[in-house]
Amino acid sequence: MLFQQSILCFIAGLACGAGFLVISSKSPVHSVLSLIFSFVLCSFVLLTLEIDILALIFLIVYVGAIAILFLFVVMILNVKVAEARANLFQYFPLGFFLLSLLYFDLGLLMPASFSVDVAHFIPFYLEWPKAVLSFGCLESIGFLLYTYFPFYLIGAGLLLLLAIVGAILLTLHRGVGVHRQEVSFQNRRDWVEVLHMVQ
Amino acid sequence: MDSRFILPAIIFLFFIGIGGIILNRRNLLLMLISVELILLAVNIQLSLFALILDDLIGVIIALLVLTVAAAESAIGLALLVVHYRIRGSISTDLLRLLKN
Amino acid sequence: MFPFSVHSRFSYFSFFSNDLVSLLPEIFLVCCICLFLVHGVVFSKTGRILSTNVANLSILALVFVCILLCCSPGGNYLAAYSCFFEDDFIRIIKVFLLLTCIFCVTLSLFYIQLEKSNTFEYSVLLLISLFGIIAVLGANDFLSLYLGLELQALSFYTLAANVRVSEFATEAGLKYFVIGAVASGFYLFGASLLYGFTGCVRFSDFSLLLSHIAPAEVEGIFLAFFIFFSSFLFKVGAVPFHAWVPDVYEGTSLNVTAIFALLPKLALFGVITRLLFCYFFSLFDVWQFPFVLCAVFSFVWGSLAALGQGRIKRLLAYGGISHSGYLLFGVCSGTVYGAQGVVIYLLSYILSGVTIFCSLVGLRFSRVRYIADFAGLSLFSPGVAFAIAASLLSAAGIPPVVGFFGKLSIFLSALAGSLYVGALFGVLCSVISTFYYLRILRTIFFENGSRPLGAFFSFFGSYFSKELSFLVGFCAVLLFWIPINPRILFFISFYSSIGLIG
Repeated sequence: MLFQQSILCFIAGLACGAGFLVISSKSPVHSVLSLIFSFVLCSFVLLTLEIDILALIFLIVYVGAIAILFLFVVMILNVKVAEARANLFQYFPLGFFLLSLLYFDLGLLMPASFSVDVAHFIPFYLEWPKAVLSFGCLESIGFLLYTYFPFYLIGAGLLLLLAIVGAILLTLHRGVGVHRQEVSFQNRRDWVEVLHMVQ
Repeated sequence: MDSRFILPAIIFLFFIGIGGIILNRRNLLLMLISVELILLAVNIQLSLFALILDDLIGVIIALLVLTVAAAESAIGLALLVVHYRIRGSISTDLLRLLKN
Repeated sequence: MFPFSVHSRFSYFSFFSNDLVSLLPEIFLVCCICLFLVHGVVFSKTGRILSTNVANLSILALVFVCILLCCSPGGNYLAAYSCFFEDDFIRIIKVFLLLTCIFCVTLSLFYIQLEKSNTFEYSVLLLISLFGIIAVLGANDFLSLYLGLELQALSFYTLAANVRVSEFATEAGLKYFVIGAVASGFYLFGASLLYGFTGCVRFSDFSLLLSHIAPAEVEGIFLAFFIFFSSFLFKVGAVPFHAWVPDVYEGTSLNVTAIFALLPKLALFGVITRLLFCYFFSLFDVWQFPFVLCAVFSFVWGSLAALGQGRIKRLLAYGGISHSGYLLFGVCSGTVYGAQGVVIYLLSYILSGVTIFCSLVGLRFSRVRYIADFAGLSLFSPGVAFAIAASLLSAAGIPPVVGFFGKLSIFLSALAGSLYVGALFGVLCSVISTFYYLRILRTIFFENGSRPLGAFFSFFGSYFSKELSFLVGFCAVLLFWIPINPRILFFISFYSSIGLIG
């Protein structure tokens, strides 16, 4: 138990360090790479906590989709390495406010009584009927999502549709005088009418 | 296993994201990355609470927040690309047009 | 209550059948959105200009949704496994929202024709954001509220940067995006903390839980609650989180500014009122003072900062900040009169906002950007001058116009909740705001500008479209007609506030 906890602490601390690297590194490529590192570490945290399905989904979506999107944009844009020339003292009140918020958060969260610690009550022998009939993680998530919350699923689908429409609307230029290739028109053309014999 | 002890790290990650948006004086891409960091921290926190409370609804919320994060990053990057096309740079110093 | 439910024969379908009946307007709206999108994609390949077509279709769809909403079964009910909630308050706000959205589409239709922009997605995005707003209003759950807020916010980011070639518009879009992302981050953080502390996600569970435990037992709930609600203050632009409002208003094009100013305020104040009054009322002692502070600073800052503004859009933005301050003040009174005052104030805000934005869109050819550009308007276009005067008087809260009733009911409710100092500040600030609104009126009626506005008018003739001029006239007359017979206003607001409480 202590071994697992110490590993968990180590991974979570590493994730924090990667997050700090994200906002402190000078080149955006480096910060995207540290972002990927921190995604992977967070997924490890979940894996250690035995929320395995969510860990795998995080790995796939965050690293496979979002981070790749960021890397694409870094490649498209010609981003120069810029020096920070902020006067850090001007942020002192805001930073103080945020830090105090953090402090209160931790002070309230750590001694708070999340009283139910389920792991103590699980007996260590195997109940066969329970093992056969019970749902696994994936089944229970699917059961909840498709039976009780189908409207959320539809809402999330609408959100992704909106993302597609919005991204296309913002970035696609439909020029008026641009000649485009019309494939069907091209296929319909008869070469006999097009070719002329030049005397 | 009492897994509450990694909460400080996660909350710290959240505040790193907030700080990345506020203290950032370099480029806009960093702001979008910090938004992703914020959503990541919240997601981990939600799934941790779901574990502590032994309740699956937190996992469902985390799953849908993941979807929202993907959509938000798509829209944000599209905005960034449009801005880059017009201004030729993504430095935050250029966000000064709309001031008195 | 449910006229065509099929309880008897298909008992296991009864959940879904009731859901279908109760969520019919929303389902119809989503179907329309998908249909319009397919319609636009299919027909835009042939090279037609579809923006007017889709805008007209969406007005039709909105009218149908409005009719469906009015025909919905009454009473309070939970739908979709208690993810959505509906009562009379929500229904009335929804009807206002749909009417406002119809006005906004009409206004945008004129603007689109004027600018000859060919983006049919504009109307579709507007409909999607409307769906999100409706989901926000009816949400009974952290998750449905979040999904609705994100639907609204994402389509608003896109709408803000809709004019791709304008650097102002894209900058406004980026700023709005960053602020909105921070706000949603705060929302999620607060919601997850609330979930972690209590294990509840439904708001109705919260009302039960908080009325049965002493809140001091779980101190973390306070902090989580304030982090959660700071996201709403971000979105309405109340004072500690107001810095984005003038920039975003100024950067976006006029039709989008109208949408930003009118639609979210209606929905967000609806949901803030409902959350604070129905679900978190047990924490009243905790939230009253900070929110009163926010409200007072909002209207003080909004009134003082607007004094030095020369641009009309920035002035409207600061006016918007002070309006949200007044609305928040009405919520903070914590009485039924406060809820009633919020509804009255929202109605008057919508009416005056529609009037002024329609007039500004109509005056677009003459490039009215600064307040000084209004000089000589009354000579050349007395109708528009009259409409702008009516809406500004209403925003200032001068007696013969409907805005007076809004401010009066807010202040009376504050007195009923014994917030005397705040009410005093409110009255003083509304006097200050009267000063700059009257300055605009002086420019309109008594000044002849160096730049002859009339040249543009006489050259282009009257270029208000029929719909737009009808809209301006209708709202301006309504601004004066409601005070003559305020019974219907009071009836609607009282009915909705009773629906909120009971």
